[in-house]
Amino acid sequence: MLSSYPATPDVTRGKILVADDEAEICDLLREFLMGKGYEVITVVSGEEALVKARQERPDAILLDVRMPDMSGLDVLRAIRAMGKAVYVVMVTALDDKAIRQEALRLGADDYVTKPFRLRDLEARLASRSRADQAWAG
Amino acid sequence: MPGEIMGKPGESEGAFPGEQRGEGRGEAISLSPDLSRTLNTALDKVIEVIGVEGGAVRLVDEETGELVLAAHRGVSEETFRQGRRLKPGEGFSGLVLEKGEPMVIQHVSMDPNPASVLLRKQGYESYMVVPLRLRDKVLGTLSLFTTAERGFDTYERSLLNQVGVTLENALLYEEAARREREAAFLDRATQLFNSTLQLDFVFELVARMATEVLGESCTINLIEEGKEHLTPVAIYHPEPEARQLRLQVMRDNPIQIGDPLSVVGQAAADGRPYLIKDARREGRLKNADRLSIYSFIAVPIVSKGKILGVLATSITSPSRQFNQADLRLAMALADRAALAIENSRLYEEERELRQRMEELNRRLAESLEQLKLSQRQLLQAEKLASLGSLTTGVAHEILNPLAVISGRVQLLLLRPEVPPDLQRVYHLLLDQVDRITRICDGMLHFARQKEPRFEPVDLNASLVQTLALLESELRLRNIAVHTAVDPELPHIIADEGQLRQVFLNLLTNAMDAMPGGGNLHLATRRGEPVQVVVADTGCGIPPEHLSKIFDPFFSTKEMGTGLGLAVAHGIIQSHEGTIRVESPKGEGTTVVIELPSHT
Repeated sequence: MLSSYPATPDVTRGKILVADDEAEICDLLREFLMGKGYEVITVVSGEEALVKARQERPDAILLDVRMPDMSGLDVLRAIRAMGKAVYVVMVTALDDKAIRQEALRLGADDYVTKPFRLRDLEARLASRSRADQAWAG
Repeated sequence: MPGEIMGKPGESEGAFPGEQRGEGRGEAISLSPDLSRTLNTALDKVIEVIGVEGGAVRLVDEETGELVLAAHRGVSEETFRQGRRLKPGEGFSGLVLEKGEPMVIQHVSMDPNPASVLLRKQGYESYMVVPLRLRDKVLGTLSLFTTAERGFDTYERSLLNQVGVTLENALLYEEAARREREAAFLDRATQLFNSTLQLDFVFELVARMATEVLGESCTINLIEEGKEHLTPVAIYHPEPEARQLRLQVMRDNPIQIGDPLSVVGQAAADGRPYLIKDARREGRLKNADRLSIYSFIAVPIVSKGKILGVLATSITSPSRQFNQADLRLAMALADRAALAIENSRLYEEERELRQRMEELNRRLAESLEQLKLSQRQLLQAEKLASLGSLTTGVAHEILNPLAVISGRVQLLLLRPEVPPDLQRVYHLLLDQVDRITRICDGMLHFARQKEPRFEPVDLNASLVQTLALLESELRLRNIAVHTAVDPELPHIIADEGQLRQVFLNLLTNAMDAMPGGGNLHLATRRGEPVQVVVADTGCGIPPEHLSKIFDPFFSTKEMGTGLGLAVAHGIIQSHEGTIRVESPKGEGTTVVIELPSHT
């Protein structure tokens, strides 16, 4: 399942890919992030996430770890293998030290556990934007 | 009158070829002072009544069947030099003993044997020998000597018979009295033996009692399982020096069981009684001279056909000798001693058995307790294991919808102009979500419990640093902290992260138990195992809850996960330690953790 909303013209906010096998989570994050002015693409499987990451060149990916076909960690590994420097935030219900370490080792930029505070999530994305701008500037 | 001289001259009284008699005193049959007096008195009476000048009494030695001189009057000691012991048929007295008929020798001058020559020298012309009977048994002979060359008439003969009866009565009385004395003695022995069950004391008693009625000294040797030599267990002699000497001899020369040179050794091997009347003459005792033993008895102590040991007693002066009666008495005493030893051993065995039973019961109770404990632990472990396998999946399934709920509520809160009452509801919802999240986190922690990573840990530092995390909270809640850590507490081998988790859980519990403030006591103590104590002055734990506090999900706190103590318990167990919680009514709660210093 793939749902895509028309991108809002706010380029400074950027394009976010949300990958979570829970459609409700996808809907929630889309609603919230779009409200905050992001362009949002959502997918409900790892495979799709990898395809969209390649096609849509998002600025950031909110990536669920536990997905039925291909885990978030596998997706992350594949993305980094392609040389993509996209900002990846792992979003997971499993607050596991080992998974966290593995994710960071594979090149995740951040790690957020469910349930999350929306403001917290937004702050992390915003800090990403500022970092990008700092580099760009 | 040669026809009246009976017996072969060469084998007449006193003919014991090749035997040196010495002074002969030691060969007298051993008589009680009473009997000796009775015999002498009776002999005097006979001599007076019959009107003769001398006489002698001979008694049968039950052991050898020989006649032994027991009393004499009017004749010199020397007369009997060679005739103190006579076999049946030997000499005139021997003939009388054999035939049971009186005999008269009218002319001693006609008799060439040395005793008759000696009698003749003392002026005697005739003599008469009559048997002394007790019922059908001939106990001895009475000899009367007269200086007149005459026979004994019928009246005199009947008179002699009368006198014989008197003597017989005396003997009978003596026999009865002896039996009575023996019976009384044995009764007393039995009573004494029954009065104690302590083996050492029993031996001591036996030895002492033996010296009261038998010889001057007594020894008891026991056969010990698997040993070739006898073990001396009691040595008694009224004189300490003599006792010491015997002790020395026994220590230096332990008696080998069956030693052919030792009478005691023989008795220990064959279970037979030994009577050595004249130790000097028989030469069967190794230490006869050294220990001045003149007469000796060794009897086996036998119980249920088993030889337990040997009781030996000795006479240490030449004044008397043991006889058959003494031997019988010694055997009777040994029998009672055997019974006493057997009783004592049975008692010992019974006591040991009882002790073993008690020990077994105690161990059984311990095992039962251990079993109960492991059963509880197993139950706990099962709960945890099933929990572990379920948790990851369940937590995931719960946390995802929670994230949706939480997120949706947050979105609602982001809307402009949310009425305050709705805002309160939204926040309440978020709080409840947080609570569920904490429970899930706890469950996940369980699911991920791994083998601890052990390294040297400073428990004091861990405890104090964990405490520091809660410092501001404790101050806020008006809780005073008292720490009494052992400065010399050794480092223990443990997983520090896990132990900190335990401390944090315990400190949080203590804090929560004192909502109105209180005192928190922390202590560590060195030792094996080392101890960590966390005590609060809070609300305590009701007794009915104490058995459940380590169960996962058991909680009395409004916001509790029920996992704090369960986690602590699991961690301490994986450290091979123990954790116990005490909560006497009204005195708060004390948690004691014991950890081995080297895991």
